[in-house]
Amino acid sequence: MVGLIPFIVRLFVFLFYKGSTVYFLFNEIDFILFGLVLNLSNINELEDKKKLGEKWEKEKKGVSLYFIIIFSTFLMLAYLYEIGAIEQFNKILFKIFAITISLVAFLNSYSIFNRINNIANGQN
Amino acid sequence: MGKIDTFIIVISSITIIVGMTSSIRTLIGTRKKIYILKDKMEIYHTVPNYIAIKIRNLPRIAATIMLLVLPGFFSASLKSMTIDRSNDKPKVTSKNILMDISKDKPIVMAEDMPLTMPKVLPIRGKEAIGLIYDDARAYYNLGIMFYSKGNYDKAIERYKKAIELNPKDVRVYYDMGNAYLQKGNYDKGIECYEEAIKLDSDLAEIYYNMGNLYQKKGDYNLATNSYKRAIELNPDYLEAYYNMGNLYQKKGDYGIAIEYYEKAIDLSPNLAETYNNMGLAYQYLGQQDKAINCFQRASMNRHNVSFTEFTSNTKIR
Repeated sequence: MVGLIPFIVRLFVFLFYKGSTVYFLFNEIDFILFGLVLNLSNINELEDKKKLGEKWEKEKKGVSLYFIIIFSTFLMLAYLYEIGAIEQFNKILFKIFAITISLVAFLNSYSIFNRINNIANGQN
Repeated sequence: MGKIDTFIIVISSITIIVGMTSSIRTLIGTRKKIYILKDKMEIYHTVPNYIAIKIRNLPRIAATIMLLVLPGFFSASLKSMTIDRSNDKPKVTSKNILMDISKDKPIVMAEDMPLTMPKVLPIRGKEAIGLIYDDARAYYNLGIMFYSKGNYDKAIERYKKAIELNPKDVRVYYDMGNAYLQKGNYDKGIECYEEAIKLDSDLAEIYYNMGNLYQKKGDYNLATNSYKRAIELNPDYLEAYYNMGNLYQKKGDYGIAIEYYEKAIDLSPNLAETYNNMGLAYQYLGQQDKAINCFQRASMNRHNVSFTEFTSNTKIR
């Protein structure tokens, strides 16, 4: 939910500010932040729960950490572009990949929470 | 295409592949395992340290074959029950059935398989699975186990099952009577003791407990008769003398009560309660000196084993 706050605020602004366009709704930074928050939550959940299976836990923490590094890198690129430090940059490509990676991060989070819930319900 | 674009494409592709692979593996691995049996399984506690899992509608021969030929199958299905070993008392949770086990050695059996002391077959050196065969003795043992834990309802269930299989065991009726006594169900308790007497009328303990039961019910005359019969069968029955003394004291016959207390003291001179109660009886009779003497003796012996410890859970000898 915390990760959705930028989207909600952006939607709010879009609805009430006449000058905004549809492209305004899809901002790569929001997706990157969403992905960051998701992966931080993953690590938090994995730290919290015990007896999930050491190997699986380590794998998932590793994947989440990797995502965090990637998202941080993308965020840095976005900020560099914003301040004009980078000029030769395909913004649309960047946006598409940022959104795609966020969706993959969402799927990863879903798989983690699904597994944790199933274990809690005694199904694994 | 610039360097940064190439960098973005490469890093994004790797990330997408890694993320998708990990997610799909986790989602596939989380799918329900071997639930064919899960709904048919019933977990119950057999003897301490083991859990038995009964599979409903599974023919015995099938269970035998499955255990010998497909140990992995059972191993996996048992894992689906989530044995949590993180505490000193591991717990098995499955469909809201929660059992405490001190050692997780699951045992699988078909519904009609008899149950007795388990035979444990180590499978691949890991979880041990075995067949258990039942008989009256096993159910009786279970009843004792539940009784000792204070679970009298379950104890009675097991005793009843033991009686079904062997209606000639006096101990089962006796212990069932004790369980009903603990529950406060005196009428049922008396029935059980009477059945026990039919099987063996020479056991003093049965009459003693019947006396206790009648006393709780307030049937002092019947209690007196029961205690007397217990004493006839066992003239050294300390607890019976003591309780007789208490009974007569309740009835107001302090003189007779004192006689019984004295007999109890002859058998065991160091029990504080006997002296204490005798002192009370003397007090009621107005014999203060003797009462004081008794209370002093009681005080001197106050650190000895109490009657509560001494007389609880009297077993058939």
